[in-house]
Amino acid sequence: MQNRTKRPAVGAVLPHVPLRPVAFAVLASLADGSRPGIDVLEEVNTTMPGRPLLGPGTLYRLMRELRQTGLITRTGRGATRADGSRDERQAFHALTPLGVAVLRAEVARLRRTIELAGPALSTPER
Amino acid sequence: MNSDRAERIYRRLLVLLPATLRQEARDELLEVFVEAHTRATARGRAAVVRFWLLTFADIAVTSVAERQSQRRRRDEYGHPRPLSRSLTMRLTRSISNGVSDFRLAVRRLGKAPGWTLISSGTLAMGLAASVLATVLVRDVLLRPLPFPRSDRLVRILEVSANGGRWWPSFPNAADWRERARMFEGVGIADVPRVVPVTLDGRAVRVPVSRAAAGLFDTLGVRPVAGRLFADRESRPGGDPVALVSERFWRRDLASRPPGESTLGIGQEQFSVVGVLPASFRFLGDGGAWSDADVWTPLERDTNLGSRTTHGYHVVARLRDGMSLDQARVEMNHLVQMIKAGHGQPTQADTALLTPLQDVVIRSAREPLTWLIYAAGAVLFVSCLNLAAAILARGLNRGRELSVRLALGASRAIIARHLLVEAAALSLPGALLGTLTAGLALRIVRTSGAGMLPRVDEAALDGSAAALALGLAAVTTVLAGGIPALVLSRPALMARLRAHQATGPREHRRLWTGFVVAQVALTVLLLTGTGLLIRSFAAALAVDLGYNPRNVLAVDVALPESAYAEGSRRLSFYDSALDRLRSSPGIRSAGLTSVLPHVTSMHTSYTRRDAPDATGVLAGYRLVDTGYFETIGIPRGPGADRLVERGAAAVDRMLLDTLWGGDGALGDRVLNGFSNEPLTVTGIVGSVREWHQSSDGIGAVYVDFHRRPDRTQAMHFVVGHQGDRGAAVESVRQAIAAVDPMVPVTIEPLDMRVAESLGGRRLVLLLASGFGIAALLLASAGVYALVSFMVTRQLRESAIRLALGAGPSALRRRILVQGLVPAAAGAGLGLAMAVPAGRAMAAQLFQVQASDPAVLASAGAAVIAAAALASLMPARRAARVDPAAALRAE
Repeated sequence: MQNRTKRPAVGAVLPHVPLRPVAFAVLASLADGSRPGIDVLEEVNTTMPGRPLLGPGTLYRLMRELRQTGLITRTGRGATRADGSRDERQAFHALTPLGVAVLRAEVARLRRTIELAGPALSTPER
Repeated sequence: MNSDRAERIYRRLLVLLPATLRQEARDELLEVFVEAHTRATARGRAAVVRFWLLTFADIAVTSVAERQSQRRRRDEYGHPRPLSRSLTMRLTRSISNGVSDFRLAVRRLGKAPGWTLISSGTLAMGLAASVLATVLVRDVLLRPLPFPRSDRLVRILEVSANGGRWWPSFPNAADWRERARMFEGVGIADVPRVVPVTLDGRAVRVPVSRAAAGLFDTLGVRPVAGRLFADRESRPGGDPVALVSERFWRRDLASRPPGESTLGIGQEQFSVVGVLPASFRFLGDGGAWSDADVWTPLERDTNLGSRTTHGYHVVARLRDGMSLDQARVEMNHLVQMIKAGHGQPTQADTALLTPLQDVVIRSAREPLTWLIYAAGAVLFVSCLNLAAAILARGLNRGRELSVRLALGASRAIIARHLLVEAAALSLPGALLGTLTAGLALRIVRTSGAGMLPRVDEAALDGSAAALALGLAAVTTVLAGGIPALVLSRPALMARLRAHQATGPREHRRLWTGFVVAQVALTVLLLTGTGLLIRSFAAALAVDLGYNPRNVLAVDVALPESAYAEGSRRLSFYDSALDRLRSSPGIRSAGLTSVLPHVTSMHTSYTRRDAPDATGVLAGYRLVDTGYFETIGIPRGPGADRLVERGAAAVDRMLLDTLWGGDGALGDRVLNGFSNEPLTVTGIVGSVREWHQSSDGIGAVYVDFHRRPDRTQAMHFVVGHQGDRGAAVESVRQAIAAVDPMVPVTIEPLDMRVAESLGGRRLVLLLASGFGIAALLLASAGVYALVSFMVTRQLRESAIRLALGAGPSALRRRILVQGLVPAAAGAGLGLAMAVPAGRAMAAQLFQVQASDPAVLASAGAAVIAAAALASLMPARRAARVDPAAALRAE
C-alpha cells in the first residue's frame, strides 16, 4: 500500500510520535488492511491489556481524531476485509500512507525503547 | 434482549451526547453498537452484562470528553472567548461585541418596521401600566406625608364604652393638648366648609377651615410668606387674622405680600397674615386629604361645643422616645382621668391613636394594591406576547441561524444575538411606556382629584423612568431569554431545517403555552374589571333614599355686605324660592343647608326626657319643606308641620336608633351642640349619605327660618322637567331677578353623587384600561400564533386544497387551531378567577366574587377576541393558490 504513493517526509511523521497506547492499538489493528469499526473495537479490546476500554463512543472520537490528523481514512461501505470476507453494512477504515509511516515510526521507537531497556530488565533484582 | 430493543435503548442513551456529536456520529455509533451487541449476545450472559456496563460508561465518558474538547476547540480557534483572559480585556471585548450586535439588531429590526412597532408597543403597554401603578403606590401609599418626621404624627379619635368611634369634641381635645405629656404637641382643627369669602368687592366660594393654637407647630408647617397665628389671636376676642393657601394667594390675591389683603368671612374682615406652603394638606370631610384655602383661628369662637359635640380633627406628635403602644396606654389613662375630673357627659371612654399616614391613605390602600396586581398581569401578558413574537421571528429565521451554527457560532453567541435583539426592542418600548405612563398619570391626576387621596402628589420622575428601564431589562431577559434558549439548541435547528414546512413540535407547544398563559391572565384581569363594574353599578343602583335625577344643586354665595342681617337672608331665600317655583320648566324647588353626600359636622342627640340617655350621632339640616318633595325623600306623618316653632323632623334611621322605631312623635330631643331642645313633629325617610356603600347616619331637619344665624351658605335644590340647559337658564334668571349681584354655581345633583364614589371610580377607570390592554395583547398573541401556523402550513394547506378540501373546511381547521389554546387559557383563567375575586372582596359591593355573569362574559370576551384574531389568518389560508404555494416550497 505504501508503494502506491510517495513516502511521507520525516518532518510530517515526527509530530505524531509517540502515539498514545489506544491510538497505537487502533492503528495496529488496521495494519493489515481496512476493517469495519466493530472489528477495530474487538481487536483493540482484546489486544489492550486489562479490561475492555473502548466503547463505540470513545472509539468514534478516537478515530475521528486520527482521521482529522490524517492517519486513517474511511474507505466507504461494503469493502472487502483483508481475509476476503465482505461486509455490506459497515463503514470501513484504513490507514493512510501517513498513518502507516507513523505506525512504523512508533513500532521502531518502541523496539528501540525495549532494546535500551533490555539490559536493565534482564538484571536480577537486588 | 433482542437487538431491536437494545438499539432503541442505545438511541435513547445517545441523547446524553452533545448534539453536534450525536448528529455526525449517530449512524456509525449505531452500527458498531448493534454489531457489538450481537457478538456479546453470542458469547453469553456475562458478556452481555459486561457489554452494557461498558456501553453506559462509554456514553458518559464520551459525553464529558466531547464537551471538554469542544470547549477547548473554541478556545483555540478563538471564537467567543477573548484571547486574553484579563478582566478588562474581556470586558471591552464583550462591550464591543454587544455594541456591534446591537447595531446589527437595530438594522435587522429596521427591515421589519411593522413587527418592530407592534412588539415595542406591546411592551410599552405593559410597562406603562406597571409604571403608572407603581408611581401611584409609591407617591400615594408609601411616600411620607409632607411634614417633618411625619411618622411621629398620630390622629386621635374618642372611643365610647360601646366601642363607637367619634371625632373628638373640642373641650376633650383642649384637655389633651394641655395635659398629654406623651405628645410634643396636639393640633386641633375643624372641618373645612365651603363658604362665601369676599375680597376686593367680589365673592368667591372657597373651603375655609379653622385651626386651634398649636396645630401648625405640631405639624411642623412653616409659612412661605408672613407668619402663623400669634397666641393673642387664638383666644376669644382676638384680632381677626387669616392664613391662606399658596394657590389661593397666587390666584385670588395676586401674590400680594401678607398684611395687604383682607378677606370678608361672615360679618368680619380678616386680615391675611401669612401664606401656607403649596404642599400643605390636612384632614377634611370624612377624613379626606384636602386643602382648605383659608384658615382662621379656631379659638376666637366662644362656642366650640360641649364634650358631646363631635366634629374636630385632632392630630398629635409623639414625643421622642415614645412608642405608639406606650402612647396608647398613657392616652387611655389620661382620658379616664379627664372623664373622672369634669363629671360631664362624654363619649370619650378611651382614645384611638392611628398613624396619620394610615388615616390619609386608608381609602387608597385596597384599590391601589389591586391595581398593582392588575398592572403586573398586564406586564406579564405583554412579556409573553413579546417572547412569542421573538420566537416566531427566530423560527422564520431558522435557516439563517442554522447557517450561523454550522459556521461555528456557539449557542452562547446565538443566544446573545437574540437577547440583544430583545433589548433593542425593549429600549424604545421603555421610552414609549414611560411617555404613555406620564400621559396616563396626567389624566389620572386631573380626573382623579378628589377620588384618591394625594393623587395630585403623584409624579413621574427619574426613578420612575429608571423603574421602566429596569422592568424593560427584566422583560428583555424573560422575553428574549426563553426563545434564545430554545432557538439556539443546535439539534432543534437541524430539525427545523429538515421540517421547514411545519416547524418542530416543541416550538409549537411552547408557543401554545405562551398563548394559553396570556389568555388565562387576560381572563383573570377581565374578571376583576367585570367585578368592579358590577359592584360600581350596584353602588349606583342602591336605594339612596332620594332621587338625584333631574335635580339641580344650586349654590349661592350671599355677599356679606348686603346680607349682614339674618332677616335679609331669609327674605332673599323666600323670594328666590317663590320665583323658582313659578319659573318655566321647573317642577319644584327647595332649600337646604347641607346637600346629601356632602358631609358636615355631626352632633350627638339625646332624648331629653329619657333617663340615662345615650347620645346618637346625627346630622343637623336646615331645610324648607319643598326640599323633601324636590329630591324625593318620602314624607311620613307630620313632615309638613316643620314650620312650627321648636319643631323638628327626624329620619327613620334616627327613629330606629333613638326610639327603637316608634314613639318619636311629640317626644323631645336635645342637640348636643347648641343644647337646643326640639320637639319631634314629623318623620321623613332616611337618606343614604356619605359613601353609598357605608351605612348612613341619621338626620334632624329644622326649618331654616328658625335659625337665620346659620343661613350664610345654603343650597337650592331645583327639580326640572325636560332639558337641563333650559332649566339652568331658568334658575339663573330667577335668582338674578331677586338679586343680580349674587353669584350662583349650578351643578346636576347626580354628578355630586357620582363624585362620592370616588376612589372606586378611579380604580374602575384604570382597571378597565388595563383589561382592554390585556384583551388587545392576548388577541394579538392569538393572531400571531395562528398566522404563524398558517404560514408554516402553507404547503400542507396547498396540498389539502389541491386534493379537493373545501376552503371552508380549511378555514374551520385553522380557526380550531386558534380557538383551542384560547379555550384552554380561558378555562385556566376562570379557575384562577374565583380565588382572585375573593381576594379583592373589600373592593366589591353587593357582588359575589364568583359572579356567574362576570365569569361568563370574561370568558366569552376572550373567546370572541380569539375567534376574531383567528379569522383573518384562516381566510388567508383558504385563499392560498395551491400551485404557487407548492412551487415556492
